[in-house]
Amino acid sequence: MGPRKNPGSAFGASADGRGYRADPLFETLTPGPKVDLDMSEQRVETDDVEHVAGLARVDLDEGDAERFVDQFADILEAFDALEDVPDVDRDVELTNVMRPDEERASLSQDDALANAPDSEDGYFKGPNVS
Amino acid sequence: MARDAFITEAEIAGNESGPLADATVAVKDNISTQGVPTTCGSAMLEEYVPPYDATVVEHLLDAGATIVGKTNMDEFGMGTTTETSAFGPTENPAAPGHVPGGSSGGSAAAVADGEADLALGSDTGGSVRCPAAFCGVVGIKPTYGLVSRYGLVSYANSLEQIGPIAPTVEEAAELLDVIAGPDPNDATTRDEGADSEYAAAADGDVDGLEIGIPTELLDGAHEGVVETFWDAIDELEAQGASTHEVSLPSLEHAVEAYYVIAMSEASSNLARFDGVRYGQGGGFDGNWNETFARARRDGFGDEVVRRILLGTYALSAGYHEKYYDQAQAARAWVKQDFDEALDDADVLASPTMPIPPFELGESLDDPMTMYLADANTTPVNLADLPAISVPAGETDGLPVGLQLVGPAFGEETIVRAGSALA
Repeated sequence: MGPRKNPGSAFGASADGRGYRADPLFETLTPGPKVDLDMSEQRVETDDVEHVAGLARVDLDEGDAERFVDQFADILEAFDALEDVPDVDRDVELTNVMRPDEERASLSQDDALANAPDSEDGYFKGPNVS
Repeated sequence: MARDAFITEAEIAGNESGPLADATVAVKDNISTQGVPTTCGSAMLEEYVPPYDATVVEHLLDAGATIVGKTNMDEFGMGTTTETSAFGPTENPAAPGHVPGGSSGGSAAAVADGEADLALGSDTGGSVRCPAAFCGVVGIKPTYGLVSRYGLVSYANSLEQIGPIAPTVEEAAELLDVIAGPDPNDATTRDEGADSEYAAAADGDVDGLEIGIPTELLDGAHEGVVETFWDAIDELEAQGASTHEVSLPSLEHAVEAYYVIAMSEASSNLARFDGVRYGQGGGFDGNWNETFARARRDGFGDEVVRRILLGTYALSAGYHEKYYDQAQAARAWVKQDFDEALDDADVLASPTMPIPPFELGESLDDPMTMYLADANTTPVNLADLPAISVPAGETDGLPVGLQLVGPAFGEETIVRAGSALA
C-alpha cells in the first residue's frame, strides 16, 4: 500500500478504511502539505494543542497549552489501543422518524432573546463577522 | 450538610395528586426548568434561565412531585467526581472527605442525605450509576430511547439517558415509571416505556435468575470492592440465583471507545455556546471568531476545554479514521459481546465502580485516572443497554455498588434482580 492521498476533508476515507495501519504518515489537521506527524507517537507539541484550539474556537489562556500537552499525550496513547479492535458486522437497525411538516407553536421572540447577552430590534446582536 | 448538593434551591410545586404527590425531587442542573436557572455546573451558563421545561420535568410535575432544587454536577456532565463544577465540589454524605461520584454527584448526595426523596440524574458513561454507588443509593441508567432527552442539555447525545436516583430500587422504579415513554419532541424515544409498571417488578424474586459475571470487569478492581461484590453475589445465590463467569474481550477497549465518541460528540454539541444567543458573551472586541473563542475560554473550565479539543482532534482530517471510526467499530463489538452474553444470562453483574470513592481533590489533576474509573459503566452506554446500581455493602467504611446490566428494554429484569438487595 502506498502513501495515502491527502483527503483534504474529514470525509476522505482510504479505500480499505484502515490505511493508517500500514502507513505511518498522517495529514496535518487542515488541508495542506502532508507532514510526518503523529501526536501520539511523537508526543504532542504545544503547537499542536494551539492548532486544535484554533479549530475548536477556544482562545487558550497563557499556560494552557503547556498544561494540556502532557495530558493529551497520555490520553492519545490510551486511545491508540483502538487499533486492535477487529471489524465486526454492524447490523444497525435505524429508521428515520418523520412527522408531518405542519405549522405549530414555537418560542416567542421575547423568550428566545431573553438569555442573549445583547440584542437589538428583536434580533440577536453579535460581533462583526470579519 | 448536603447544602452543597444544590446549585439552586427552589420550590416548584406539581399537581396536587399523582403518584409522586408526597415526594420531593432534586433535578440535575443540566435538565431544563422553566424560569429556574439551569447552569450545567458551568460559568458559561451561570445566568441561563430556560424558557421551557424538559419533558421529564413536565412528567414530574404532572405526577405531583415537588422539585426542591437543581443539583451540582461536573461541568456539562464531564467528570466522575462532581469536582469539575464551576460552583465548587459536593461532599459525599455517606463518606465524608470523599467525592460523591459524578457527574450527577449533587443528585445522589441530596438523596443520600435526605435533602430530597428522589432525584434525576443523567448518565452518559456512568453519571447516574457512579454517584449512586459512591453515595450508597440506587441509580438506574435506562435503555437508550426509553426516556425523553428533550430539555436535557446535550453532552454526548448518542450515549446519554436521564435516569432516577432513590434510596430503594422500588422508589427508583416508581420514578422511572413517571419519566419513561415516547415523546414527539425527541425522535430517539421508543414506545416501550409507554405503560410501564417497573415498580411492580420490584418483588425481590431472584429464584432461577441466571447471572453472568464478565471477568474483564473484575480484573484490576480494588480488592475490597471485589470482596464486597462477591458477598453481594453470595446473597443473590442464597436467594435462588445462579451465576457463571463469562469473558467479553471487547470490554478492554470500551473506555477508550467511550471517550473518543463522547469527546467527539461534545466538540460538536458544545459548539452552540458562542456567547451570542445565551451564555457568557465575549464582548465585541475583535471579529466573530475572536469574540467567540474568548467567550468559550472564559466560560468553560479545563475539563470541558480538554474534551472539546480532543474531540475536535479525533474528528479532524487524517485522524478520524484512526480514532472516531475505530471507536465506532469498538462500539459495535461491545454491543455484539453484550448481546451474546445476554443470550446465556438474564443479567450481567459487576462492581459499579472498580474503586471506592476518591478523596476530595485526589483525581483532579490526572484526567486519565478519572477516565479509567469509568471502565465498568461506559460499556453499557456504548451498548445502549439498561443497568442499575444497588448498594452492595462497604469496604473500609466506603460504599460499594453492584451493577446489573439487562437486555434492551429489560428494565423489569434489572429492577427485579436489584430489589433482592435494596
